[in-house]
Amino acid sequence: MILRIRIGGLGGHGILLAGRVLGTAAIYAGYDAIMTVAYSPEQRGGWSKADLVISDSEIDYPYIDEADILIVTTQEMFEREFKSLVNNGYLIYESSLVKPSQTSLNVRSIGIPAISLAEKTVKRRIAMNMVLVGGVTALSKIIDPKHVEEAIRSTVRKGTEEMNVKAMYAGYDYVRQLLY
Amino acid sequence: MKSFHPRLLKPGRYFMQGNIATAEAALIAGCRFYAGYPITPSNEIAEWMSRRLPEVGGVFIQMEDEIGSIVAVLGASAAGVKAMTATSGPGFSLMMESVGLASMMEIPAVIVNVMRAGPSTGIPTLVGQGDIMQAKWGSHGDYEIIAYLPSSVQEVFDMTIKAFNMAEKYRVLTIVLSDQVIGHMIGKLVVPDYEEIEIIDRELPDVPPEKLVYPFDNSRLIPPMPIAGAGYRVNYDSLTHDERGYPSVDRDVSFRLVSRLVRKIRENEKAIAEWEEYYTDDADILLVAYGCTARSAKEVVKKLRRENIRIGLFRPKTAWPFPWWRMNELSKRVSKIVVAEINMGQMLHLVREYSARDVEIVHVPYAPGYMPPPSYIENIVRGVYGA
Amino acid sequence: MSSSDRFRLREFAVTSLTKYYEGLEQVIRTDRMPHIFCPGCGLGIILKGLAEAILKSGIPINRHVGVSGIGCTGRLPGYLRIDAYHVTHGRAVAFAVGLKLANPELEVTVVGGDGDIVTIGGNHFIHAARRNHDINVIIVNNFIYGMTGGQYGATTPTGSYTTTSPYGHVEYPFNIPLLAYASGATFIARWTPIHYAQMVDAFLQMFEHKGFAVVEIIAPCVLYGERNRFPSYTDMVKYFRDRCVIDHEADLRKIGISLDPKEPLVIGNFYKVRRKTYEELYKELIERVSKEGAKE
Repeated sequence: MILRIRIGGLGGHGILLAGRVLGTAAIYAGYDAIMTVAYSPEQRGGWSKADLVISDSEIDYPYIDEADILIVTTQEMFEREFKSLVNNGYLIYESSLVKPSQTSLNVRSIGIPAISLAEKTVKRRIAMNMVLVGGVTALSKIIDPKHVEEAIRSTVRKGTEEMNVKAMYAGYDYVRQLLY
Repeated sequence: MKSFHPRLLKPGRYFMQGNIATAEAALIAGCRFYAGYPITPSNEIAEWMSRRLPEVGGVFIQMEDEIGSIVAVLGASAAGVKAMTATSGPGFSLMMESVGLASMMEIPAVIVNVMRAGPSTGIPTLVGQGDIMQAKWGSHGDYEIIAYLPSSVQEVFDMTIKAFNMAEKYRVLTIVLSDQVIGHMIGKLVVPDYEEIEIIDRELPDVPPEKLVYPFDNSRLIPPMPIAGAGYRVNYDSLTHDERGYPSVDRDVSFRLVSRLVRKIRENEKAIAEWEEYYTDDADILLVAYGCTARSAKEVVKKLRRENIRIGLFRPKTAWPFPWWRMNELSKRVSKIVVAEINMGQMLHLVREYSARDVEIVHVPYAPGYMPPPSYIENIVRGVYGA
Repeated sequence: MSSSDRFRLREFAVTSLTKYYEGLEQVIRTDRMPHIFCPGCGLGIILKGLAEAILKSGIPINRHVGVSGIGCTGRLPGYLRIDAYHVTHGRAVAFAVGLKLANPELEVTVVGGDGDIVTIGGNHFIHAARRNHDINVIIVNNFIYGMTGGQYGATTPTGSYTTTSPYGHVEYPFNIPLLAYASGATFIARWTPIHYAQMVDAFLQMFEHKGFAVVEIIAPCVLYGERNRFPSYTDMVKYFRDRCVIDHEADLRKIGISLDPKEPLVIGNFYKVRRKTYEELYKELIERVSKEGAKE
């Protein structure tokens, strides 16, 4: 089993943190995981991208050319990275920030109103990334949300654990309802 | 029983960046002094140390340059504190002078070189493996160092602890030749229970200060190390020195000192050198790769083995000492050797030097800045193999 | 000179030096005599003065550590019976920084020449001064690279003749006290070996001072002298005696050294201010972190 997840967005969207939480959850679940990160050349205000590979066997080459799941929080990253999605891959996007301008029969798209869900559940727009993490968790089915919760608690800033966990479950429930 | 500071990274499973794992490993190894100068792609190590060292009662200082950084590290170690610096590319070049100083004064220290693309400023943000030879031969004169080649986050953690241990055990400078891919990669790290982690401290003189006559006693490969302020009142000299530490231009003094400095490593090379072998038992074609490149090489071996191609991987985990005896044995059993590295041919020289004469050696250089993908190595191997 | 002449000369040097350092055997490695300093050099006197100051300092000898780089002056700490580190050229201050930070109980004294400390080691010097490390730096300024045969350095006065300025030196020299002041040193003095008592006193003040202390000793060097109108050993000493003006309140901007015979050579204990040292500030930082917890 190998799962390749690409997360792209704006610096400040918590892209790296989302990747770290998912990777940590994968490690807790007994998988191997590797994440590589890329940024636009500018130090502030540019795009950022995290590529996460999760596998039940040892991962050798850490980079990915294509993704099984693409998560985007900006239109720019959608346009840039859509082509990297494999056939039968999943596109997850923040539905107030991204309007998919192209699509493909072989791609399943899921728009999540992550910002409004975050605002509704924890009153913090910034928890949008955790809503998306929850969405991916529901979609991937290989990681138990318990592991994600544990990963959040060990990864996020002290005092923000509950908020982030709540936001994650909001995203998890949202996608589960869509799927089933 | 060693005591471990309560604020060290706890045993457990982590998803951690290579550079941060390096810093945490250093703290567990007992490092309590860090001096460095900002340079990409090693910065996370300094940043993490600046945050973490005060927590465990250690000292962080950002020096005026890399020369000052490594020299301050040696000063701290001379005072009995385990010390390190981290750098890359041009910073490593600036430290070369003091590689010799550490060797001559036999002061333990650790340099982590997160290798990037060169020469010169090169591509600061991207990977390289061009410092293999420099690590051993970069300073003038004859000396020995130890250099590790981590291939994963776990390994950079384990090897950083080991680097401190070896530095202390042999009173030698130890270099962790990490690279940008390993340093910036976020991966799995398992921190074992502390009791399972071996920590070695330098041997101190066991005689009272007034009795210690020969602090650089040549009758022992590794004389115990008097530290500053302990009362031994020793003269440590970067000049060739006799057993008392006094400068000397005598032929025999020079020969005895410098030969001991190299013998203490060469006579222990089999205990120090490490490597990994993967499917080498029946291999007819041998891939040699290290650091991040070995990750691609391993994937190639896995793939070709599924096609019943008799390929194996030899991955040196220490560049210095190089496991040359094993290289030699393996070279006699295979018909072809393929050496893949992110440079124009560095470990290639070692492979050539120690391989059997009739074996065919093919070099796979790769663009400084980029890790060769498995497909690239695979194509070359297929060409060599004729499959 | 026959070998027996050489032997007799060596014996004479050992006897006279042993006598010169009599009473200081506790801190001077008399077993290493004769030292390598030329007849007429100021370093022997500075060695004696420093040894005397170490004994008088009240700080246990075992806590004194000497650090030096390369050059004639770099050899000085090796003749002291203390922990001494004779490191590479220019790096003494950086090494001292490491020693002091690792063990703040040590009384760390760097002894180096003008070439070692303010030329090749200039960057380490200014930054260590800026951070106000609690270390002492004795700069023996003899205007020249002695050990390598007499080349010019960063303190060689304009117009001097050296082996690399055969037509006269065209550069401007550093004014060490001003450089130290501008860099942030918190104790600054300048003396010559013929002002022996004041020199020893300056060393004692330097040991007592908490912070980056710089004592410049203008010292005679026969290699410099023989090319620059001080042909005999005593000429430079006479020059110091005749030209030195003690002025503790001197304007540091006006005490650069020139070869103009009308210009005075200003010496004195110029500057002293108490400012928290790097070591004190870092100790406070550690206490703060252990009380308030680490940064997230």
